[in-house]
Amino acid sequence: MRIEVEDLHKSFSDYPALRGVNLCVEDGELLALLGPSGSGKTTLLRVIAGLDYPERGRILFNGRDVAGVPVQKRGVGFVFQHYALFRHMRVWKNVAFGLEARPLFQRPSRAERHARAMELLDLVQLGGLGNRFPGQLSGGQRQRVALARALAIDPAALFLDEPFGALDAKVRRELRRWLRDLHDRTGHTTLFVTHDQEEALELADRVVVMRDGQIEQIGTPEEIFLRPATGFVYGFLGETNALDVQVSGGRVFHDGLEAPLLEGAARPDGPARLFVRPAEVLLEPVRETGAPASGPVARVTQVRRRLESLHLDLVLEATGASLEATIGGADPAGQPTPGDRMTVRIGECRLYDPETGSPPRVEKK
Amino acid sequence: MMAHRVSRPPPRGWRPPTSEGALTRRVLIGMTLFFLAGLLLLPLFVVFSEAFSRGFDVFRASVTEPEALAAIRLTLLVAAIAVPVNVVFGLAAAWAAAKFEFRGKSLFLTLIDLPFSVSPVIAGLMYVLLYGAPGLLWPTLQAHDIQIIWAVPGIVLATMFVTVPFVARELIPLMQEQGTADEEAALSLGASGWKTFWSVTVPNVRWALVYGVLLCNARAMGEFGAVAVVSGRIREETMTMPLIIEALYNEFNGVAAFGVASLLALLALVTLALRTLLEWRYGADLAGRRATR
Repeated sequence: MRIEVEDLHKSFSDYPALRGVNLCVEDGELLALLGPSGSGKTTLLRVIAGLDYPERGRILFNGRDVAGVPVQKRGVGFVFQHYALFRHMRVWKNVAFGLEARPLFQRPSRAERHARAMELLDLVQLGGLGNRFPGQLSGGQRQRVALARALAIDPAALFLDEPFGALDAKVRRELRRWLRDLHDRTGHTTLFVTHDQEEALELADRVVVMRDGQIEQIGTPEEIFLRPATGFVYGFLGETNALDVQVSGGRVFHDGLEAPLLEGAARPDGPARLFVRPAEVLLEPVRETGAPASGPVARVTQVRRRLESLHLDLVLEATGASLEATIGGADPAGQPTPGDRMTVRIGECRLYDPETGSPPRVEKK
Repeated sequence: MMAHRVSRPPPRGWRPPTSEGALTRRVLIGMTLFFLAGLLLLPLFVVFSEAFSRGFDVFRASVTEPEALAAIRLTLLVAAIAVPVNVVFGLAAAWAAAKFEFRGKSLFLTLIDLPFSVSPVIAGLMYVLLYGAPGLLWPTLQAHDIQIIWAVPGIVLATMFVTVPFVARELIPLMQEQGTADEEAALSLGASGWKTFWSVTVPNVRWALVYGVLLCNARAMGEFGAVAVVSGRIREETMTMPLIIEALYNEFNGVAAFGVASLLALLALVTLALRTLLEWRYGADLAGRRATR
């Protein structure tokens, strides 16, 4: 099913949750709605599904306006963040609920409902657990029951709200791959909400990055990652340093520094905001030879161990601006210690307009 | 060599940080037991021993007197009306309070609790003033020949008033805690509102509902103050069990009074037992902790 959304607005009391969202989801597409909490992604999903109503704008399913269509008739399979399984019903009854809820003359017989539920439980690899109660399943299993239940109504589209949010990292990665697999087999148009950048990039055909009720960028994972449209998207996709800079004749200056941070920037003159990943902050120890340093000098204030790297906090000596850097930390001999002075070189980085490049907010959960 | 480690006893003088010293503990436990015995167990014992003080036959005769039987019948009738009404009201009120946001909600919740804060005697008087002889609605009622005060309808109304909060109070916190996700799930699967209510909402609160019904029933059968004001105490017509107990007692008919009283006390004990059973079996459901999160 093709879903089009035009100029969608929605607010909760005074808080605007959606501010003019336009979106087109192609038939059979797997689309991620990515953004920090409060960015409106869940609201967007709920409004499209019919669990909430828009204050303005149109929603079209296959070209048909669904404004007056209640949630029961939209044919959207919705998987809730905490699964919302019916805890007093056995697993197979949960899965068969959508069939049981049909009007009398369209309702399959109990035997048919049972058979269909068992078939779906097999599909989600839970065959044999049909007679359990939801309380007797693990988080990952419940999540798959919720999915089977949503699939039971032969939905025109499948919506998932933070589908893996409540699971631990390992189960999460497994289910992610499994969901992609399932999607490729069943071909449902699928929308899922996540605040996990990696999940969105790995799983989706296209990613919609949202911020403050608006869409910041839509694109394939490659496009989003390699060509972030705004400083926000860049900042949201990983750890980032942001510096206020001035561009002049292709040379990029940070306030208070004599030497340019960068040269040959393809950008008109004026203020800008420079974004650089910690791994692209390149450091070299200052040799105490008396010769002037070849670039801006920063002092190490903290060194922290990460799984595959060392994470350094630095302060630029000339301006007091703080920077973060990561370096490969396998060799214990060459490790910097707090107080060390380092020459800073900026590697791969990006320049954005100051206004679109407000400090990135990365959600932590 | 030890095959496995034996857990060591705690060092001398160690005690869990949240516990008290031996003396404090004994004093507190002693006080609790003293009050339990003095206020609850002894009186309960006295009721039963008084009732059976002149043998079982006398007891049976006293509770099968026409007066006593009429009172028992009336009490059962009142409970049979008040409790179901209360269930419907409680479900509706809890549903409204827990699943929807609306203006005046906190006022609504306070109003539900009103019967808890109003003395039952006042509750009875309110109905007398409203439906009684010089009351507000008296002319209308008389024109249609409807008798409410000094009759069964008044007793039912007064009982309903004092029992209004019971079911709603059990359900509201639980339903609020459960939120609306289950209902949304059912609706998104195509279920009608009616189907969702009966197959999702009600089962989710069923044990709290049973619990509320038990409490409500115990109160409906045991209510004295409000009923005393509106009943008019017409023997074999408007005397409920608590009223007849008092009347018999005032007539120095101790055995009969305690005989009926022991039936009421038995009801209380049964309620208590069922309650304990529910709490033991479905404690998590009642407390509103989500078992299947």
